[in-house]
Amino acid sequence: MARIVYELPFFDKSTKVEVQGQEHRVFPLEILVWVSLAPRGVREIPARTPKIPAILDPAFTDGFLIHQHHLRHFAGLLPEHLRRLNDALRTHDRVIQLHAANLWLHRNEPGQRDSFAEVSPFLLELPRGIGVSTDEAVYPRLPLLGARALRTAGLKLFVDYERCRLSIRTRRRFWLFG
Amino acid sequence: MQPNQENAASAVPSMESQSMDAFYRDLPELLKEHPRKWVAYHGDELIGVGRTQTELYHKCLRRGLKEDEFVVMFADNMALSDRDEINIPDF
Repeated sequence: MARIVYELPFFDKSTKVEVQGQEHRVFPLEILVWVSLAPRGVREIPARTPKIPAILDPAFTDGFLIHQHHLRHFAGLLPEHLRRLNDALRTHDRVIQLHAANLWLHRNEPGQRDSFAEVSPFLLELPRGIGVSTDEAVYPRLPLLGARALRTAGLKLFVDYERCRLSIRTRRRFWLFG
Repeated sequence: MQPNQENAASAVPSMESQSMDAFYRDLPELLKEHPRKWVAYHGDELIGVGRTQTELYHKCLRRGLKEDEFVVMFADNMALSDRDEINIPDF
């Protein structure tokens, strides 16, 4: 199994994360990872692609949800930059437009949340693209990385709530030789 | 164009919609034959099955298809619920 995220800390108290010069609150026990957005079909992302924070939330049952404000200010993209799909996410009181994009999950420096290993990020291919919220109350407060993105890639999560550490690995693969 | 003709033209589903409909129509079979694999559809045609979305995406482009003329979907049980409501935790 290959490590993607290793011993990434989360905290039992509020912390802050800085994006594009602005601080955002991260609540106690929220697990924050860093991702980049890219169009489908991209095999490698340019090093300068903005990294954006996302709350890893398995209770969110689709792949990725971001508010259009964060799409613009974190990723430097407008919804029009991403092809609009003929599909939407539906909750009891919201319909959220889906756009074609994939995610790249950044590998952390072991033991650090906001520092990165000098290794290429890991591609998370999203079957339904990303949801872009236009909610007036800027919901969600930070982008959400949901269970479906992890499930599709067959990833394994190890969450140690005693030490407040997260690791994410790829599925095990077997090769036959000879 | 007469109003009726206009309505008829706008009622024709896009190739992307047709491709998605074909995927969901075939999903029960895909789950048996190609579980947890990516599949590409162009209208009713199953263009390919693969391990990654990216490989199929490029396969479709090499065939000369435009991005809105095909879909690449993941044959997983979760797709059975794609048209249901999803859970988004409240903040």
